[in-house]
Amino acid sequence: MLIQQLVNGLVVGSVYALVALGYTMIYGILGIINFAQGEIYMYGAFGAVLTLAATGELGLAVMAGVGTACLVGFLLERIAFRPLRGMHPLIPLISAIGASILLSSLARLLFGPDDRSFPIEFNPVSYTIFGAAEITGLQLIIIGVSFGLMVILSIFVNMTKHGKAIMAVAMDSDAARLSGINVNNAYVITFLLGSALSGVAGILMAVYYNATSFSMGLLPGLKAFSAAILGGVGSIPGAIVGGLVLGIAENLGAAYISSSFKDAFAFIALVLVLIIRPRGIMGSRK
Amino acid sequence: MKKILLVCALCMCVLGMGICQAKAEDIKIGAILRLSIGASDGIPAKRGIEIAVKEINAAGGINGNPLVVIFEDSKDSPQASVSAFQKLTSMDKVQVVIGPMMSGEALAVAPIAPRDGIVVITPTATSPKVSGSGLYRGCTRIDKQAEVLTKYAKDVLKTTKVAILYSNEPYGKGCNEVFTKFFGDVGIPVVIAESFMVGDRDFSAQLTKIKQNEFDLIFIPGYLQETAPAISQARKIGINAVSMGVYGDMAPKYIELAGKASEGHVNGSEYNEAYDTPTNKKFKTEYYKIIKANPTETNNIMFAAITYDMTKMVAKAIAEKGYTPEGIKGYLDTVKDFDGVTGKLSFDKNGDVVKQGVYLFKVKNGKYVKAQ
Repeated sequence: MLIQQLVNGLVVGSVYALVALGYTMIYGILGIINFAQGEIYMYGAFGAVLTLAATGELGLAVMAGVGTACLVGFLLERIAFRPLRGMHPLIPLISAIGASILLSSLARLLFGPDDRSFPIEFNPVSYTIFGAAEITGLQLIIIGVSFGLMVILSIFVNMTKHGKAIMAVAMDSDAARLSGINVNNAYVITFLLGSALSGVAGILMAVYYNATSFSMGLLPGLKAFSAAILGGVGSIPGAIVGGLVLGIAENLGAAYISSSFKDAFAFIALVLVLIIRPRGIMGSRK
Repeated sequence: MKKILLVCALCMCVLGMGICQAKAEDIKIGAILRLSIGASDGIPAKRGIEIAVKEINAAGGINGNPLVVIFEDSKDSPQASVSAFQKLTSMDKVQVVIGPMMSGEALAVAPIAPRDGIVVITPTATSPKVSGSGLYRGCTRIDKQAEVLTKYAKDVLKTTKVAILYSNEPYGKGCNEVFTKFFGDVGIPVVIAESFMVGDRDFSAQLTKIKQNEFDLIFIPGYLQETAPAISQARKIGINAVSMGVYGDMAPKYIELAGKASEGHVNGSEYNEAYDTPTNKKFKTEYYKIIKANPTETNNIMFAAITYDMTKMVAKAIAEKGYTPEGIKGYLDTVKDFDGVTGKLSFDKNGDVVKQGVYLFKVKNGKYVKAQ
C-alpha cells in the first residue's frame, strides 16, 4: 500500500507543483503573492469543460482552457497589480485577495453553483508498477504533463532571452531596466506563464476529479501556496519539490494516521519545515 | 434639510409598501429553507411549495383567502434558522412554518416552537432525535432508511462485508453510526470506515486504504458533490463492489457527475416518480415545466415532492379547522391516508410521517429505476 499511496501523492503533488510554480514565479519577479492563482486554475478548468461540452474537440478545449487562464492572468496583471506597482507590498496583496473573491463570485454567477462533470469519460487503463502499485493511464498523463511542463519551463527560464530577462528583473528590476530589458514585458510574460501552468493544472484536475465548480480553486490554491512557501518562495525547483512533498505528506498522513485530518497534514508538513528551515527547502537567503 | 426630507420620504415608502402588502385576507405561512448554502436542496424544496401554493390559489385559495408563503434562508446554520423562525412568528405572525431542512437546525427550533405555540414541519431532517421533539416531519427517519437498506443488502445483494466511506460532517457521521449498527444487526461486518471532508475532491488516499480490505459493498453516505466523485474514483482504481448511498445521491446530478461509475448504485428515496396517481402526475408536469423554463436550476424532484405534500396538508388543515396552531395540530394528528405525491400520508404520535415506506432505487443505464 505504501507504494500506491506514494503514487497517489505524486499525482496530486505534481498538480500542486504546477500551481505553486505560478505563485513562486510571480513572487520572484514582483515580490507579491498572487492569491488569485487558485481562481486562475478554476477558470482554466471551466474554459476547457465548457468548450468541450460545446464543440466536443478535446484539443480545442485544452487550448481554450489554457487561453482562458492566460486571459484571466493577463487581466489580473493589468487591472489588479500594474496600477499598484511600487506601493507597499501589502497593498497588492489585498488587491489579490479582492480579485480572488471577485473571480470566484463571478464564476458562480456565470457558471452556476453546481458541480459539472467532464464531458468525456476516460477509460480506466491500469498499469502495475513495482509489482505492488497500480497507476491509471490518466494518472500517468497527469504526472507526465506536469513534469514535461516543468522541464520546458526550466529550459525557457534558463536558456531563452525572454527567460533570462525574467530572471534579471527578478534579481533587480532597476538594474534590468537600465540594461535595456523591457520590464513590463517581463511581468506580462511571467503572469502568462504562471497562469498557463495553473490553467493546465485546472484542466488535469477537471478530468481527474470529474467535478468542476466555482469553488474548486480555493483548496488547491491554498495548498499550492503552502507548497511554494515550503519549497522556498521564489525558487522554481523549490516549488516543484514543495508540491511533491505536500502531496505525498497528505496522502501518507491520511493513509497511516487518520483520513479525517487529511488537509491538516499538508499544513503540518509546512509548519514543521518552516520551523527547521525558515526560508523553505530550497529558498535562498535574501 | 434635503437629506431629512429624503429619509422621511423613504420611510413613508417603506411603510406604504408594508401596508399595501398586508392584505387582511391573506393566509401567511412561513418556510425556512436552504436558499444560499445547500441551495441545490433548498431551491427544489422552494419549488415544491410554490407549486402547491399556485395550485391552491388557482382553486380559489383557502376558503376564498389566498395562501402566501414567506421564505427565509436558513444559511445552513442553527442560529440563522432560529432568528428566521423568530422573524416569521413575531413580525409576519405566521402560525405554521415549513422547515428548517437539516436536523441540527430543526432541533434548534424545536424548543422554542411549542413555547410560541407554532406548528413546525421539517421536510427533510432525518435525525432520530427529531421524533417526539414536538415537530412534525415529512420524511422517513435515518434509522428506518438504514433498516430498509441494510436488509436489502443482506437479502437481495447477499452482501457479506461492507466498507464505509463517509462525509465528515454531522449528516455523514450520523449515517456512519446508524448504518454501522444496522449492518451489524443483519450480520454484515464493517471491515473499514474512512472519512472525507466536505469540499474534498481527492479520495485516492482513503480509497487505496479501503481497497486493501475484502468487501462486496461500499457504502458512501454524504452529499452528492463529494459522493459522486468518490465513487467515480473508486471505480477508476478498481473497486468493483456494489455501491450504496443515502438520500443525498437521489438526483440526476449524481449520475451526471459519477457517469458510468454510478451504474448499479443503490439508494433510498422518499419519492417515486412513477407513483401512479392523478395528483402525482399533475405535480410532475408542473415541476418539469419549471425545470424546463430554468435549465440552469438544480433538478431534484424528491425535495420538491416532500415540501409540496407538506404545504398541501397544511392548507387542508387550515381549510378544515381554521388558521390556529391547535386546529392545524388537530388535523395533522388525526389525518389518515392523505393523498400526497410521496404516498398515502399520516403522522404517528411522535410527529413522524407514516407512508408506505422507503423506496429503493438503483441506477440502471444512466437512470434511477425502482429496485424494490
